[in-house]
Amino acid sequence: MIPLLLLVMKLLFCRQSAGDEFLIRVTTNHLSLQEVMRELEDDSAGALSIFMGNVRNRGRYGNVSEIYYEAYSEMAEEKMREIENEAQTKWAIKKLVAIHRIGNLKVGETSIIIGVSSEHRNEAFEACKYIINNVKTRVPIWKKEITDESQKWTDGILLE
Amino acid sequence: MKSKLIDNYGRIAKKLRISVTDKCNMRCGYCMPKNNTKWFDSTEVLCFEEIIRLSSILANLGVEKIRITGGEPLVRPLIENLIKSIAKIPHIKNIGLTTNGLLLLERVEKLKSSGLNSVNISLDSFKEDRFKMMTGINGLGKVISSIQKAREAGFDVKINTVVIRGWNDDEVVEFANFARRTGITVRFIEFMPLDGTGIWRSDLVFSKKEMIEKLESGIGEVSPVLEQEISAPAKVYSFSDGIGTVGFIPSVTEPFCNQCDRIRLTSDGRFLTCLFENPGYDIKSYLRRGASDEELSQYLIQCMTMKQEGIVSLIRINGLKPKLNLMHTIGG
Amino acid sequence: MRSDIPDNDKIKVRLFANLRELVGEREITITVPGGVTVSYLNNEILNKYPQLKSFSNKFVTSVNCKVTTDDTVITSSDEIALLPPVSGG
Repeated sequence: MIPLLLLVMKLLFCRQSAGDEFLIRVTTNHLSLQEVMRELEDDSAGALSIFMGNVRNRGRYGNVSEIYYEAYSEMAEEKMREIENEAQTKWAIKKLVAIHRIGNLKVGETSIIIGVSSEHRNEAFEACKYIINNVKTRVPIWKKEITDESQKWTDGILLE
Repeated sequence: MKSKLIDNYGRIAKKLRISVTDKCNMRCGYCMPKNNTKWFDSTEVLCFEEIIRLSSILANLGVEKIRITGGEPLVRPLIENLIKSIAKIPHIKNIGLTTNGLLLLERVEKLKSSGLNSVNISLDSFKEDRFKMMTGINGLGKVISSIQKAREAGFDVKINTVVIRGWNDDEVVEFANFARRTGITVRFIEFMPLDGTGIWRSDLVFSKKEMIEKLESGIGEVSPVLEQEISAPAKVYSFSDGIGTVGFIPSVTEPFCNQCDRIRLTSDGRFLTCLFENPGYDIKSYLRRGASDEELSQYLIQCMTMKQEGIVSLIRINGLKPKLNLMHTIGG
Repeated sequence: MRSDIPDNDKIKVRLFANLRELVGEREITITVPGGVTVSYLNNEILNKYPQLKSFSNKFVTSVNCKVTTDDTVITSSDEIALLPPVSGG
């Protein structure tokens, strides 16, 4: 009886604090899809949705060779955690990962990976989309396009 | 786990004090000049990622307990996030916070759920106007409430009181009575020459012996508690009627350097093996130049071997004088 | 009411992205009387760094990592940053 009670309490407690265990990070290191997949592993998850944002060779100001990302890191991570918590209240999520890379990135390199695992596919798709859309408008990270001719900061959204 | 942080006196480092900011929202007369607004640049201050990395490396080298200090640590934004990350580091058994309590009330729950185990709250007077005079802030009520709230939240709470002759030595008995009423241990700290205000004088030091005299004449006999942590800075005493415990940190009159198990990281990235070490080792430069974990480990091990004897050697040569170090940049 | 307010305060302000580049520093220090508001501070910043004047409505101010309104009172123990429009992701 008591072990069962303890197990139930542990599950409840774990559910409540589960959000604190998720990998949310702003880093200068190269992003590893392997690490993300490891974090999302869950036997009870039937679906896994991954979004990867990559640097592409065309930007608003011409042919892009490099993108420079700058962040107010500690605030950015906090905002990402807020978004992650919102996603958790909206959808039944098993595991979640959000890592943003900053610094100089070349064309083809990955700037952000968002990963969501859930029992069924609908939640995984929706949560993943929600998170990336919100990261783009609510997190203190700035992108500078470096082309052959110029270096320009991308237009963006003022934080609230 | 076998510790690799050993000095030439055979002392082993098990506890890490991390100062997360040099800023403070008080101006205690023995710590920081009232008009001081000179702070480290944000570029000089270690970011959370750096603090976590160094903490992990030190945990691997044998550190088991971490204490978050400042300045006033709650002044550092999002400190709960740092604590959450530190709580995940393997081998770290306990995380404590030392605070003046002013910003604690609203954040007790968040701090609890971040994994913090204990809170040491600094309080030097129960008299409202004296509190204001000593700290520059009308904050006595707030601090008392935060002590209460921290206790209710389930934290292990202790009070730290710096006793200065002619300032607040007449309140020693009242503090002990507070300990007796509430069951919260009050630790009396002798006035150390780590004052940013340059006011330290040896005649301002109110000794542990004098404190015990006051307690014994005002309340009753005290005697050391039988089970004590030898390396802990505070020697804990209980009253003979069994009610209340008080501690003494007699750094000046009965220094305990030979049992020291503490090392420090300042907010601007210096590693100190002793409170009286100045300037310490610039571990931040290593970190920011791209040193590997192994290189940083080796560096820290080496620094540890050079840990000086401590305040005992300064006392021996009569070398105590004001402002030997700036406490607000190191942390208590 | 804030009571940790000195007579004169040296407020450090962190700058990012284009604002950082315009000024040439990651952090600036502005001397103000004790206990001023964000809008007072921003005014002083624009006076000291006129190159920012054309961006005066193109940033928000954060205090201790929270975006805040102009009437917030600040002191040097607060962490202040000017945040231009974001474009992460």
